[in-house]
Amino acid sequence: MTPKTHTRLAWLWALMLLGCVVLAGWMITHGVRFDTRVTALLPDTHQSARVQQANAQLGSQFQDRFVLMVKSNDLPGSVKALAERLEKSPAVERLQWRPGDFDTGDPVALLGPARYRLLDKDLRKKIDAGDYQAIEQRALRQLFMPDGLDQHPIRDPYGLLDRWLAGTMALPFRTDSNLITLTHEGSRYAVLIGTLEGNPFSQSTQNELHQAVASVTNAHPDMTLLRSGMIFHAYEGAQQARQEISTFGLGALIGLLLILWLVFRSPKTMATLMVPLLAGGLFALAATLLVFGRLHLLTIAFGTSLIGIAIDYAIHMQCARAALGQRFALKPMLPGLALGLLSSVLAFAAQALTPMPGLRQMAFFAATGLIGAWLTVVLWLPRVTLKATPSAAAAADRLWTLFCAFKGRLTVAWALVGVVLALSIIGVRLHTNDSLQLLTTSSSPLLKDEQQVQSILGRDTGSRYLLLSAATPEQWQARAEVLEPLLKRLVKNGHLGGYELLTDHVPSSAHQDDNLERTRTLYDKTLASLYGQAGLPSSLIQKAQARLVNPPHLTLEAWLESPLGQADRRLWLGHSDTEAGVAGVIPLKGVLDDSGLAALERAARHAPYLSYEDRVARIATVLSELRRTIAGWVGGAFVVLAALLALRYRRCTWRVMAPAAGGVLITLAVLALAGTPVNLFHQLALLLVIGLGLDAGIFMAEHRARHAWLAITLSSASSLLAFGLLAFSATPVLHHIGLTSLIGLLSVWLLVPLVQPHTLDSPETPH
Amino acid sequence: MMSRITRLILICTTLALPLNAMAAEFDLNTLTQTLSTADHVEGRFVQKRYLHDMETTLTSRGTYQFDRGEQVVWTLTDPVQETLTLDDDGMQRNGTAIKDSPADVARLIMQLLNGDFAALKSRFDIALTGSDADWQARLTPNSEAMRRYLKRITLTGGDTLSHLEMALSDGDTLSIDLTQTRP
Repeated sequence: MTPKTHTRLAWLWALMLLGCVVLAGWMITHGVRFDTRVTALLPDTHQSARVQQANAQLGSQFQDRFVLMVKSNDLPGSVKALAERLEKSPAVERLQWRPGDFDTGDPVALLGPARYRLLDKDLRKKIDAGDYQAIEQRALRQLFMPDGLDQHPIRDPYGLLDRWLAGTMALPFRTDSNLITLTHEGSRYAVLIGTLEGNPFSQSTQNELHQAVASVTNAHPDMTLLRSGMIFHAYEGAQQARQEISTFGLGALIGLLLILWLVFRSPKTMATLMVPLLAGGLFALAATLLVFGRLHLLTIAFGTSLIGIAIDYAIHMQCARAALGQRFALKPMLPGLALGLLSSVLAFAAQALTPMPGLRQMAFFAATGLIGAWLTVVLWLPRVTLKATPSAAAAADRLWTLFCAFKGRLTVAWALVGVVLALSIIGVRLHTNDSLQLLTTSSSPLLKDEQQVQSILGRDTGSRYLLLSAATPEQWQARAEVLEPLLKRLVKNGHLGGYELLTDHVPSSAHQDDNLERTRTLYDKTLASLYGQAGLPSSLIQKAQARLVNPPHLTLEAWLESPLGQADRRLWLGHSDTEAGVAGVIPLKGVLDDSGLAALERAARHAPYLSYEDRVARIATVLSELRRTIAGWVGGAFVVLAALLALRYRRCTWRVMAPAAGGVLITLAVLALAGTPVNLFHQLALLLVIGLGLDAGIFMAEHRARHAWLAITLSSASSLLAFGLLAFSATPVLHHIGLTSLIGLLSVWLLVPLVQPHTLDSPETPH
Repeated sequence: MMSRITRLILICTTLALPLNAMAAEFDLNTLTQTLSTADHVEGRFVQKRYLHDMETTLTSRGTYQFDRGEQVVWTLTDPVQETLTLDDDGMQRNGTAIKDSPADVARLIMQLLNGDFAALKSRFDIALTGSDADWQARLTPNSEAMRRYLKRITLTGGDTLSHLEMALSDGDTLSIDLTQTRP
């Protein structure tokens, strides 16, 4: 490459980056979708649109709302203070805490016409048993002293509407002192239900709500709160992560700057190490947006850390320049740099071939990022003048002494023994765990609050449910009613905590017809006697019976549209664009033991229109599949890479591969010995270890020089500071990434000299 | 949802208190003060339910007891037997608990028991006329939900509450005459 070509290419690259800024900027300001759903990582065929819709609908209660249960010596005063503060908060769209905040609409208009078809269980049982006396006595009392809605001698002499409402809509609440209260284990609680204005994961929403609640609890020290809702968990998680990232991040930054300063003694050189990372990130962002049209947040999180591997190229280049001074030339550097890039890109690109859309994106992002950073290093860095740095040469000399002490200690035979040992430890003791619980960051008081509120209020997170579909709403209701006896039996035998069935509020029309027959029987048997006792003229009997001739049915549609049926809307998925027919969900609450689960899965096997869904288990499955797929493809890429490198390095290939492979094996063996189950996050950190390990092996094989060892040491140190420190984090995800990086990167660094040939000596002098 | 009308009746009977302690200047504050000093009251009632579309009146009789802040017992004796109780644990019909729903007006009862006219005012527009020896209170619901079935409540009394009349939106009325026997 002539200097002229190099200059041209450098300018071309600058232009391209400028284009990237414009493109990414335009796409982000013009509504690029940022995806946060873990399920978006799944192949499309794995999850039907119905399940996605059901998850969104059921989850929103937990995601977009929160519940506070307040206990206090001065309940009205405390609750009022809390409610007023919350109502003022921009995080809260709506707060319901007084009985008047719940709109019940007009139950008489909604249910009145169909009431003869709606019989509560108790009444049905009594009519079937011919037990009319109690019914008649109660009806008579209500004629003289009505105690419910529309208890009229002609329209509703038996108070059917009121019985139905009491039987199906009864709530555990009381409404004294203009509050919604309930008593649990001897304590009286007031209940406040909030709807969030924003997303529960938004930092400003979290902070606003936290401040509002904290300011009131601080002012009312005798007040105790039980909290339920995604936002409280998200707040705790974010708080912890933010605090740790800032602590560790600051520590890492100071450490990194200190080390680089000791070696290079030049702010300019230090800055040149960062430019390739920024350029790579920018290039990756623009390229990913262009190709995928959207961006998953996991891509940014992990992709960015994987691009961190690119600091290798910059450090390698600058170390060589600092150490070699005038004798530096770009050309001898290129094979090592190119192979370093090739190996990492190959490891990532392998994953771009997997059927996982999320993984493809992550791999594409990391690979393009590395390419961008590499081009920056090769095209721009040599153009930046670099002062001769005696400190770099001195550091290289000191490190070389250390290198020589370890050099060649590991022979092929011992390496093989190590591999066999590590593999057997891994084979016997390594476990995996993809449970989501590993990732929980909530404190135990918050988890206890959540559990208590959910059990007291019968609130659920909407994670386990039955998905039921049918050709028409009518058929759906009939199918749900067929399912009911099974659910009832499971609850009765303690295999299932509870369930929410739409047909409890809107029976199928066949069921409504049965009920109407019962009502007719009731009227035939007792109405004459009732009117007689009340002193009403028997001429009115016909008028009352005329109402039973052809009363309308209560339809699902009318119910769901009414304010009273609003809470049930989350259970109904209705028609969909992609699938024929209608669907609805039956959320399962509380415990579900193995035999309960087996019974439900058996029922689902026999009925193609029924399926059991577990959102939490599904996410765990996604994580597990991701982990397996990555492991498989990286393993394959490793083999291909070994074959490619063998073309250049021949019998020395093992020395090139050993740091990366050894780093992975040692890390896994240590985790196995410690009994730590491996999850996706350990494995993503292993990708970092592999990338840096391969670079180290290649650079050492290419240059066998002091500056290469200096570069490898600096790059290991910087990555250790950036990621290894996270091993001390209390946030599970960060801890897993950190621990893996710590063990893996240390192993890589130690293995590099250990596997070099004994005879190796530095042919170059630093001056 | 449950028992709205009964509750309203019970609320109103809690006004069957000795009102002789009323100050000359008769307003809600004095009424509240009076209520908060009351204790045990009992008596008999005659209740007439007029059904507008049938032009029929159903008449019943019974007794009431009121222990301020603790319990209201409303007992129908003729022509049917029924006891409704309201206390700190909620409402009971013949000893069996009746559940509340969030939209209910039961809290009005507690507001009254606590002498909390300020809270009652949040649900009704209250117009007070007359003097402490002969007064009338008209309660008009200010919420759409309650107006659907209740037009207004009129309370009349002198030393004690003597008459209560509820005008329902469909034209029916429920009127209750109270005769205090104790203290």
